[in-house]
Amino acid sequence: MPVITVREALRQALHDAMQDERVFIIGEDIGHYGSTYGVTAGFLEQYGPERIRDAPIAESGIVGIAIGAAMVGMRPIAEIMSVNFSLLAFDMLFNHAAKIYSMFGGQMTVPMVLRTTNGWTQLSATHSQSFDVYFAHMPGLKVVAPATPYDMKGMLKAAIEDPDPVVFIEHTLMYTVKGEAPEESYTVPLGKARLAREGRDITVVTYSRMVHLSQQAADILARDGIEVEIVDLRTLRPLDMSVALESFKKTNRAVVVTEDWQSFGTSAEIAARLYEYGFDYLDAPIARVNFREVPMPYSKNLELQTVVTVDRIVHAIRKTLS
Amino acid sequence: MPDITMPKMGFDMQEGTIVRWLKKPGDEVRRGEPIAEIETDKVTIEIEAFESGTLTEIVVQEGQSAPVNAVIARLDGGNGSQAPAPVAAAPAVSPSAGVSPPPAPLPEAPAPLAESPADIGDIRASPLARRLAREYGIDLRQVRGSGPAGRIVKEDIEAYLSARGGAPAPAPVSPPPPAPAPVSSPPPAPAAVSAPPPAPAAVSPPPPALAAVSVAQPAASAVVPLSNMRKTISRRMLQSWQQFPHIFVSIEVDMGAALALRAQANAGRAREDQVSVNDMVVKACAVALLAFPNLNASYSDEGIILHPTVNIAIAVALESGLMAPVVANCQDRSLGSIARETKRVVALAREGKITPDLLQGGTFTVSNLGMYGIPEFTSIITPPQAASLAVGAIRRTPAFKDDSDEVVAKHLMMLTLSADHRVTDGAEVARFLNELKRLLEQPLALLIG
Repeated sequence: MPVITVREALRQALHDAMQDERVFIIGEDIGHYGSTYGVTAGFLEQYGPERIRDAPIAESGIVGIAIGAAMVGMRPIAEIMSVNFSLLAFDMLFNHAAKIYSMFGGQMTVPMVLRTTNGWTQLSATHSQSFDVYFAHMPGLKVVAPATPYDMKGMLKAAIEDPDPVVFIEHTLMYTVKGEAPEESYTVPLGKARLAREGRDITVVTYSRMVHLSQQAADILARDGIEVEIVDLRTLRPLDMSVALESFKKTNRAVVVTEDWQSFGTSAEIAARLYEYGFDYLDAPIARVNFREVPMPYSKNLELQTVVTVDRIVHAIRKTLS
Repeated sequence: MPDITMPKMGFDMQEGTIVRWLKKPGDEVRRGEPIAEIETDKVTIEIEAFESGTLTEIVVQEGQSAPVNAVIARLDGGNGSQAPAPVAAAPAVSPSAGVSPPPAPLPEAPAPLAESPADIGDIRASPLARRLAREYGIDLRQVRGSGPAGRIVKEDIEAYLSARGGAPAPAPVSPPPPAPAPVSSPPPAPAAVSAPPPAPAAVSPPPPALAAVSVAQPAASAVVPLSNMRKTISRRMLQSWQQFPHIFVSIEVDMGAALALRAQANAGRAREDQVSVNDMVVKACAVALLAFPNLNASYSDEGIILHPTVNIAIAVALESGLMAPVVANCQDRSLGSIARETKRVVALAREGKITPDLLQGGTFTVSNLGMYGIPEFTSIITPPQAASLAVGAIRRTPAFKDDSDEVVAKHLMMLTLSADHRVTDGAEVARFLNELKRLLEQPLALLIG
């Protein structure tokens, strides 16, 4: 199987999707500039301005257009350059995309995909955020945040084919992550977690970029004979906890690692479900590793104190095992 | 002033009833002296004092029930010479966890534990440790916690069990399955939104049927209070029927040869040494189960637990209900030994003298209604076992002789196995029943095996 980057996996999925005449892409700088992270480079030349639509800086409009097009049978892919800008489109997303199916008696669905990206690296407070939990909080949306090239490609394809609005969350620090993915077209179903690593001592429940950091933490702990099992949730809504619970029933201890603020964050929901459905299997309090609760500092040193690091994951695992 | 608490007499005992106090307030009590009779789910048993002193107060009166570890009486520790370690909750008469001997005080029994007869709820222990303690009948006060701030964790329970000498034994035998694993399947198609709203259960009035029953109850009907045994039977049968998907498979056995062998074997033997048809069926089960370990097993979420020994529970009808004393280690017993042990445990059960350890650890059940002339019936599996055999009456029946057209009198008996379909399948049950049939129709094998 070829080894490709996350960026290449997304490109392959988009090229594949463009075979369907109903699919078009709309977003800022996706055409002439080839998109900020290079995912749609060359698409304008290949598919033309009708289907690769550069939009003005008007996020609400971009998502609104996608919703309307989806309602009349198109399969739009709206790209919001950075998740921070999606705030401007929340009304469109929450009050329209998420609700049209139920408010109009199921007469139409909204089969659109909103591609956007989390990330940081000295981008400062307004450009270094993660709103996974806002999206995942909203019934009516599906929220996907894969970690590997294989899942990126298969789940983007599945998201485009899905009849409901799907928020597809990428990460600026993951576009160069490499992994195996077949050349041919395939889908990976939404709403199914996967076991990313087997181990008997402790369960790490996580998703997106944190899967890779957790793997590094597990490698370090393996030298001390500690076997870490890692569950990659892949989808936040609908949230599949079956794999994590199965693992937790074996290890009896868990650490939840997510790249967002801790209070009321995705890790709170994940930990709550472990407590709720795994109470009698619990042998130690569940630990969480997340952003420190401050607006992201610009200073590099302070930024590194704020984000999740491999060291912090290792420490949390050791503490939970003590 | 040590408290006397309701001891835990078996791993599934939750409460006990004081049948009779053998001491009254003011009486001197010597360590080891019986002080009360209590009735558990299945047995009535005397409990002994763990300390000497004067009985100062009876907290739970005769006829009243109390949960395990609740204070039932108070003892004045005499002149307080040696503040007695409150091992109070350790069972007096019989092991608390079925197979293993009463917990020997742990060598390193730490001082802090002895200090406060803390309520179990005050002890720091993980939910998992608490569950394991419940399942193994362990008093958490006797376990030293190694976690942060002395929290008792799974490892401590395991260490305690191995120090006690009892192998952790048949692991947590099938706890009730946890709440249905949530989620997993994405809602179909456009369903993210379209799932029907949950039924407005909270709002709906209580089902009218209930009200109707309580109102319309005729004056003449009487309510017989549930005995502890009735409650236990009801709880366990409901658990089995709700949680164990039963399959029922029957086979007819020609018992002619077995009856002839039995007549020969019993000729001239004292009545108490005689072998019954049921003993032969039990022996046949023991032999057959060795070849079908999957039916001598228990389902658990972690996997099928195959039990190392064949312990056959014999269902015994009593005036007050039903009991199933266990004939342990049938795999090593001769037919004669099975017959003698069965007589012994059944007699104890009938006389109400059976001890909890003789009611625990069964891996398979044989239930026989032959003496009532019932040709065939089905039984409900006793959790956490995987199968239960229902034995019908031997009927003298006209039947074809072998492959010929000649009709002869045969002694036919119907066996029906109830099996847990999570553990086994119909074909395996069928093969097992055929093996039972073979053993009973060529019964000399039972004398050798």
